[in-house]
Amino acid sequence: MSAQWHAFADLATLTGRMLKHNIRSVDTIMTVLGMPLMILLAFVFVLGGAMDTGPVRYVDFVVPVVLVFCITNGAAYTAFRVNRDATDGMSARFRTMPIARWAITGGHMGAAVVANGASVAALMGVALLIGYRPHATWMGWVVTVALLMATLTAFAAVGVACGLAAKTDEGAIMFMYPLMGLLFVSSGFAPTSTMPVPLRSFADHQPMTPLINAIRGAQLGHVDAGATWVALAWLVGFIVVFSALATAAGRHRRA
Amino acid sequence: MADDVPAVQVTALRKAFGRQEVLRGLDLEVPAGEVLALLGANGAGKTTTVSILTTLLKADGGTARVAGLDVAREPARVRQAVTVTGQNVAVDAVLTGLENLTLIARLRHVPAPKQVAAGLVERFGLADAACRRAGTYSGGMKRRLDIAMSLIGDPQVVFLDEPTTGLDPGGRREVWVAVDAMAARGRTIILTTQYMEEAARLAGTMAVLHDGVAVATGRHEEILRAAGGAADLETAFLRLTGQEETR
Ligand SMILES: Nc1ncnc2c1ncn2[C@@H]1O[C@H](COP(=O)(O)OP(=O)(O)OP(=O)(O)O)[C@@H](O)[C@H]1O
Ligand SMILES: [Mg+2]
Repeated sequence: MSAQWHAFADLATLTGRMLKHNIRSVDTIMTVLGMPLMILLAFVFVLGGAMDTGPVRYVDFVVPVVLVFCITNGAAYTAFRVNRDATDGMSARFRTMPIARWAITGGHMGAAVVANGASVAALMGVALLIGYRPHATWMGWVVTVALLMATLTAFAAVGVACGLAAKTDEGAIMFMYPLMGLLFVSSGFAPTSTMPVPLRSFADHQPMTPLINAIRGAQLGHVDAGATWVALAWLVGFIVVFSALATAAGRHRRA
Repeated sequence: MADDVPAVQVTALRKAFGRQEVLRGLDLEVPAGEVLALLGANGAGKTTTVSILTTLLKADGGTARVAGLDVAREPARVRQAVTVTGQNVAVDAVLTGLENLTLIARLRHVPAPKQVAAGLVERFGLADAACRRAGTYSGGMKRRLDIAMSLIGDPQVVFLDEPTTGLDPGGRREVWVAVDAMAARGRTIILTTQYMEEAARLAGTMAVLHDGVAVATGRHEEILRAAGGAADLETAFLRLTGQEETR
């Protein structure tokens, strides 16, 4: 068996391990699936009536931010688990074993993509039940899936970096708060045109707004090429920057 | 590994953490098939030495070879040859004991990982708790699981950093039996311990670490002689590590 084959088998084994961590943690399921679900229901049924989103129904408006919220919460758990591994000796154990380094981090990333991706799919299902009606073209679906996959990967990379940089597991989650905060100052819950000017200029230029606009456009049948490219550029930027930060933080940890 | 290549060969090894020089020219040679006890007071650098030899830490100077391989140049091949039980228990608290063992067996690519795991669970007296999460284990049970995990794959050189600390007499006996069994199969074992009777019981040779160097190396009698003819190992240890007056 070749070394490459071993590395992929190890990636699968380590991804399976972290999936067990996800599935066995009520806390994770509540935060990654339960919380976005509540937000979805609350915004659609309680606050939705008071929201003016023009010709777009509020449920159709709000679903993208709920999906991104779910991915962000999931990535916070990646940060938590990466930190646990780094502090409780599991990652040291793995690093004395003949396992490719990329597969060790890859296990965390892979589990994040699979588990959070499944949560996104489940949320989409509930949204459809409560009246969400996407009218995406096939191109719209391709764009949606590409954006969600890129978001799952990019935010997991942020989680890995935060997990390695933080001293404690609580600190690791706290490092993820800014990412969550960005969601609430974006075009996710209300059009940015309804915000005061300083807030609005911030909201229009931070990564979450183009991401949400791009998903929403693709879902509602008018792919917004501009927003899609800007969103993808941000996400690729996240992956590059946070992978570098993760490498540096990992090195610092072992110095 | 040919029999004439030492399992571990350390020359002038140096390591500092900031200003603190922990290793200042450590020399150590362990022939293949030997059981060596690495002794030293708290903070002497035993764990640091084990970490360098198992590719977790980079040395600042000197050379270290394990199974004939330079740890700095060929870390990936060194990892094929070694296994480590660290000073702190490293088990996955969310997985069951059986799952922990299966995980490591899969990562070591042994045939029939589940059977290997089931066998170890029996051998280490964890059968009743095998399907419980390791996070619910007592300290000693975690330690046994930890050691069992490190035995999978049967590598040539085994590092055990204070493997019996915190174990009850039965657990300690279990570890001793495992060490003897590995030694009988020709494995090289480097273990650290604070129990002199354990060192004497398990190890053919010992090395006493003090002030960043090995102040004495050799068989039991040689250590006693190096300490100026000490009556027993404990006296020798205290003398060699400059703690005699505190006795
Ligand atoms: N990562 C680190 N950063 C800073 N100092 C360290 C680090 N690791 C070890 N040290 C210091 O190096 C010295 C040697 O530590 P080491 O753990 O090797 O000792 P030891 O012989 O294993 O001790 P013990 O018997 O207590 O386990 C100690 O003073 C310790 O504080
Ligand atoms: Mg130690």
